[in-house]
Amino acid sequence: MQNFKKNLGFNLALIAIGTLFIVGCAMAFLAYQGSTKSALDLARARRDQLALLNGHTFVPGAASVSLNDKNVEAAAADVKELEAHLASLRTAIAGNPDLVIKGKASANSAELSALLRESVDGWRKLAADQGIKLMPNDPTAFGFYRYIHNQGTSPKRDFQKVDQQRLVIDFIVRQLAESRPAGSPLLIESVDREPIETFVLIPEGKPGAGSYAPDADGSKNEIDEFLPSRTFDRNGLVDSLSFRVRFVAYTPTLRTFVNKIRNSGRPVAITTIDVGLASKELEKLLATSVAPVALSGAAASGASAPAVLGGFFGAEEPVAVSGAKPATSLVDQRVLVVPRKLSSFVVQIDYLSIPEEKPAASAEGEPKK
Amino acid sequence: MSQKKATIVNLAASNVSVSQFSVEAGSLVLEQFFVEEIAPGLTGDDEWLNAAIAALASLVNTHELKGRVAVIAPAFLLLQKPLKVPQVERARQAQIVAFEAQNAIPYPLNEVIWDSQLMASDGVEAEVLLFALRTEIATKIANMVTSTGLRPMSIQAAPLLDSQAFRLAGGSGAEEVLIINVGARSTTLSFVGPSGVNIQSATNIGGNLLTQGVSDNTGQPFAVSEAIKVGYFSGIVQLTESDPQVAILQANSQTFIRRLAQDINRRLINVRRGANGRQPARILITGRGSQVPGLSEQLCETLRLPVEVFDPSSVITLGAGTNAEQLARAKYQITEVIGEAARLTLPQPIGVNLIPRDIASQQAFDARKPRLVVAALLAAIAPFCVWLAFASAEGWNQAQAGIIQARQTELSVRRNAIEESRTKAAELAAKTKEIEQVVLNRSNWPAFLGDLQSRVGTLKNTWIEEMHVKYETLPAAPAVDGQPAPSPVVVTKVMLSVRFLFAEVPFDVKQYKSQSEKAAIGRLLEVVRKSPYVSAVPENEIIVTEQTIKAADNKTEIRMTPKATLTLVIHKDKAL
Repeated sequence: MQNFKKNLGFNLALIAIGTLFIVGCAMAFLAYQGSTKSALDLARARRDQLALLNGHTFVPGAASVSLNDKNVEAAAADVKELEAHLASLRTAIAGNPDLVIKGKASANSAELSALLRESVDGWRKLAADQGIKLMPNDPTAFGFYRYIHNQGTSPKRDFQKVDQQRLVIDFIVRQLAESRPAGSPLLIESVDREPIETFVLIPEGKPGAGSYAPDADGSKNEIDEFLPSRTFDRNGLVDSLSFRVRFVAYTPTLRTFVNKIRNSGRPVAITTIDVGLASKELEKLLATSVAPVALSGAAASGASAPAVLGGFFGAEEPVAVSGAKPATSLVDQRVLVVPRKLSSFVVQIDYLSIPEEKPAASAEGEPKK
Repeated sequence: MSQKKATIVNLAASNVSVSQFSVEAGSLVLEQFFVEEIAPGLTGDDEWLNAAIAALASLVNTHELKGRVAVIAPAFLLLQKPLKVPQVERARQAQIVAFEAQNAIPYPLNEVIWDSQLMASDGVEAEVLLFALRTEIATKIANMVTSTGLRPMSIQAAPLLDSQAFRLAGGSGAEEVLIINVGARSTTLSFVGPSGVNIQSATNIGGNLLTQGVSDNTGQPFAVSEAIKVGYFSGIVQLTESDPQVAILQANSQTFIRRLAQDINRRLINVRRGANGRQPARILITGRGSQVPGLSEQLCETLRLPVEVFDPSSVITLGAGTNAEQLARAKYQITEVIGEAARLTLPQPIGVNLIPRDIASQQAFDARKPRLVVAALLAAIAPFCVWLAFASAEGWNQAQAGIIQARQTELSVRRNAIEESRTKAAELAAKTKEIEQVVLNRSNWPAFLGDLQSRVGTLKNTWIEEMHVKYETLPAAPAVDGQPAPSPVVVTKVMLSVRFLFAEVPFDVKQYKSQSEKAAIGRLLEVVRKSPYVSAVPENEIIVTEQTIKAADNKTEIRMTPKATLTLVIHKDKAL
């Protein structure tokens, strides 16, 4: 202790230096640890960078894509190209904007109800004027039976869409009426539509939640209404309104009708066609127009014999064959073998529209109508 | 290369001087010389020591002196004993000296600091001069000098230094010389010759003896008598012949000279009678006491030897801090200082060190302290070098990582951009595919009907009677692990009822020819299977009904129009 006091300054200096040494050692150790950690971080960063520089495999098993500006631009260009293609497809589906059928936006329930009655009356009058027959006991209400035959009822919502259905039916009826060759029989059994205004909102937790779908218990048995099993509706991409026309006529009427629909320039598509023989009752209804047509006495070779119903879009004549024992008679006597027959057609037509693209933020949680 | 330097503190009886010497071209250079007088008449050791240290402190403060010094202790503080020891090897001789010292020194050895110096040797015996200083005094000197800010490294015995100054001044080794240094309280005789050096001190004869005599005779205080003595003999103070003080001064001077001469003569005779029979050829006198008028003449007459003033200052060079006048004034009191400074240049200097061992070791330790501190500091700094290296490496690593990170961010941004574009493109492609299907399939029905018509139309007497569409959902393939279950496949089937007319069958023959039927169905299948819409027509689903119909007259039965019902499986990509 005496010596310590004698060299107090020196000893204090040594203590300070010793402290400095310890601090230095501690700092060196910490720096060593930091250096080691930073070296590992650097190595990891280099590995990651190298991995990125070698490209990135976006799809397992596919070739790596180099992460350069060119590929970024190419990817963006692909998107733009697809967007352009998608837009062109939408345009192709939407058709001529001038021919798009839109419902009246300002329509209300009462007004729509009046329009429906007026239209049904108009179509019936059109049929009567043009000799087009409707079912005698229960003529079609052209899809609006529930409102025509129930006084005081009217659509409760989706007025614009119901009005759009009205206009599309008007288009279909008129096209059908115009498709009939002069004097050719035509009986409209029914024009059916989807009762969209009766659809119910699908609750949360079920497939298609938030959108409207047919009520499991309602509208199935309503006259003039149907639920299509096959449509061109693509959820969110293409909306469709399905209509079904059931009529009895000869094939040219169908052919012309289909061609007129296809070439109308409107966004409509034939979804299904079903062909069957008309029932006896219906044939009787149209008896005046179904008189068998025998071939003229002119010679007709077997090679020119056409099919009756087989010619959907071709000439349609009754089939006749040469008389029996052709070798014994020089005159080819034509005998009516197969009479011309009426067919019952069921044509389903979709009216297509492109739904407006909603902003991403508001797209979710909003019910689809 | 460091220059040799020495700072010497001379604690003389009447003054204290501090001298700084250096060596230049092998010769001593007096860089600085400061002297401070001490009040005369201080007879007590402590009293004198305090006055001396006060004077030293004054010099140190005035001239801002510092550093290591060699302290010259005056003869009157020292115990001086000559010893004769056998001439043996040095280590053994040291042991003998240590043994003899116990007998020679009249104090316990632990109460004194002692040291010895070999002065002469005839090959058989060696003359060793033993110096001792009371530990208490030595410690006091060392501590008090230390308290002034100087660091005493040695305490040298003043009697040894005259002979060394003589050696420095070029004294011939072959010549026997007696150097007499008359101080204030003692007189030192140094016999220097070929056989070595013999030093004797007369501690009770000095300038103060003369002053004391004057004081006693005049009744004046010692200090006043000293002033009168110095003033009168130096010629500064002029006294008339009739002044009684003159007579007193002269009488006391004669007494002093006679007594000093007798003492020197007695010692000289002893030396002559000694083993070596030394006979000085001349006398060199120095010390301020030697300035008493008539001393040289008296010595010359009494001892029959020539007497000269010893002035070793002639061999030293004056530095910038000194001048010749200053040196001339101090030539009687600088002999011992030069003798100590001669240590810087002489090959085998003589001397002792009477500083206490603990103080010496402390001083030595103090001298090493800076180096120790520097060494410790360097050792303490070493980890900082390591720290600096690692910190620098860490900084570099972080900087590099930062650069890489920035680059990586850039790449990640691109990757995300591509990823985003790909995701968007996939979504768009899915949408496009869906819409494309609508665009492509919307015309399928008219096209299919047209195709069917054109194909069936090529066949004779064949027509379609009914057509129904059926959609069959096939069970979906099982889901692969981790993948969503594939959607079920819907197969479109069109069931055609085709009727044939066998025109070649005689109308009136009610028979049926199966060959014609097979041929007609075969032709039908052939054309239908070529349709791009038809992928298959299962044979097992072909049903032929032999049907009899009636002709238009409703009587004739026609059996030549069988109906075949077949199923057309429609291509998946041409779905109706």
